[in-house]
Amino acid sequence: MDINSTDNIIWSHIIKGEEKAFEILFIRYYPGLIRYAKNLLPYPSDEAEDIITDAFFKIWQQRETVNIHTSVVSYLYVVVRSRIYDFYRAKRMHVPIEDALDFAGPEYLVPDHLLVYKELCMEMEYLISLLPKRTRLIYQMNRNDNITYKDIAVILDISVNSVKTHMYRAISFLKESYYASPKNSGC
Amino acid sequence: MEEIYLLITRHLAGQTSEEEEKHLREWTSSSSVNARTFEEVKQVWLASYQRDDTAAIHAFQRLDKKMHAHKKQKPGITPSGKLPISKPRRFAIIASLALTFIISALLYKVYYPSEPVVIKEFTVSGQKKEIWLADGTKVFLAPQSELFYPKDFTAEKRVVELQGEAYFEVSKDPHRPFIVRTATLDVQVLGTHFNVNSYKKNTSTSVSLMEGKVKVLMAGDDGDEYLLEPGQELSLNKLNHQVYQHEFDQESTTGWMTNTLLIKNEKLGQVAEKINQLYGVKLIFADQATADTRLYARFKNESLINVLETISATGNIAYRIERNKVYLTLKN
Repeated sequence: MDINSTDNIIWSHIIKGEEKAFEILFIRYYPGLIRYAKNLLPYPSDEAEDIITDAFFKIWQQRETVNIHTSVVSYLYVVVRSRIYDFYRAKRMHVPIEDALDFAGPEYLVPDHLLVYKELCMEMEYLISLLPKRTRLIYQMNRNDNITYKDIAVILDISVNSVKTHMYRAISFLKESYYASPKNSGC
Repeated sequence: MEEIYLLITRHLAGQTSEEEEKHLREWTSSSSVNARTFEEVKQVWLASYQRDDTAAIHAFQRLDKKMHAHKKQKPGITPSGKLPISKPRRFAIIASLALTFIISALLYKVYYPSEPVVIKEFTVSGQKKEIWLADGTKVFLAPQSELFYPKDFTAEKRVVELQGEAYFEVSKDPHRPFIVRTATLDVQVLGTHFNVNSYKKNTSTSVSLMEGKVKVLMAGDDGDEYLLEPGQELSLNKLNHQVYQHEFDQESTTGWMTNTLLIKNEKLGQVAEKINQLYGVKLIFADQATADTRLYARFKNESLINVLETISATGNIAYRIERNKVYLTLKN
């Protein structure tokens, strides 16, 4: 087992109590889980770090008894999500409906916007920040953490087709605006 | 267009089937417009990678502490959610919990007195650390590396665990062999100076000997043994398990200790990892041709900008920096 092993192989080592395997899994998904938690939490806060550390602590304690039916990565996300719900309950706040975040309209691809962007020196990071919240989350899950469409669909409880739609919108938006920017002509 | 964009990115992410690969190859080679689309999507894909594991590494340290603290406490009651308990009552509960904890901690100490305390030292990119072990051995830990060692060594042997790279100056003690354990091999010595490079992301692990004598033992059941002479290096290819034994260039191997970056007719793609270690930036190449540019250079204590300027001047390469990433492309 090493850093390139699949989640399933790593998980089989975690069950045996190997902390090294646990560390690999943690580092592999921590950045994405932080992003996900920050998306769901009501305001910018440091809670996300604690929630994820607690979630992993619980995962470690339950490693021998838990039975993963879907995939390791979706299990991680589900545990983190339920910790976030616990957080809301403890604060006596209503859990936001995730779909409320899901208003990926086509309006951001209007050519006028692209013209405005042309004035600026486009940096990819900035372009990514322009994506609608949900589309950005899905794109980053696939791009940065190599999570498959199927797993993303399970985690976010949407269809694989919606995942594909978000992915396509993200890629075509990034591509159009990246190549529309004057960066390539020596910005 | 949707399917093809997604196919290109899934190809780049390594999530395609053989059939899809074939389809993509045919599509890309069928017209220059398609080839261009492929190239553009690829650029976007490469440039949009945003990952930084530093926070994760630090967060794991905290979690690790928590896990170990918990192990010692023995499974107890972990507070979850708040119960409506009156203040005096709560105090009584806390007090009794504290008492239980103190007693069990004392009992623990009595029953398991000799559990060795293991210390973990680590470095992030651009960082180096000098560590002195209990026996007087000096370890110089390279960037992005981890060393686990006991606070006190046992009477029979001295064992440390390494991930990444380090230079060891082992203090002589013929009765207690010093062992550096890595994922792929063990290095056993009595007292000597040597460098071990076992970064997980590298395809090979290597042991380079400056002084004295070391024995290298391969991990696994067969456990082959190799003896090294000063000036010799042993490297193990992790992919095909081939072992190579050869002379090595001391300055190139231990350059990280003196902030020296030595590039001897190497491809930029191979140098990227060293630059990442020293400066904590990731190099991103526009295409294979840029990554394949060969260079010859020697930098000592140079700033990143100077290194990049030299590379750009000698390799005819344009670069731009965005946060902790450097994008490189060949000038036309």
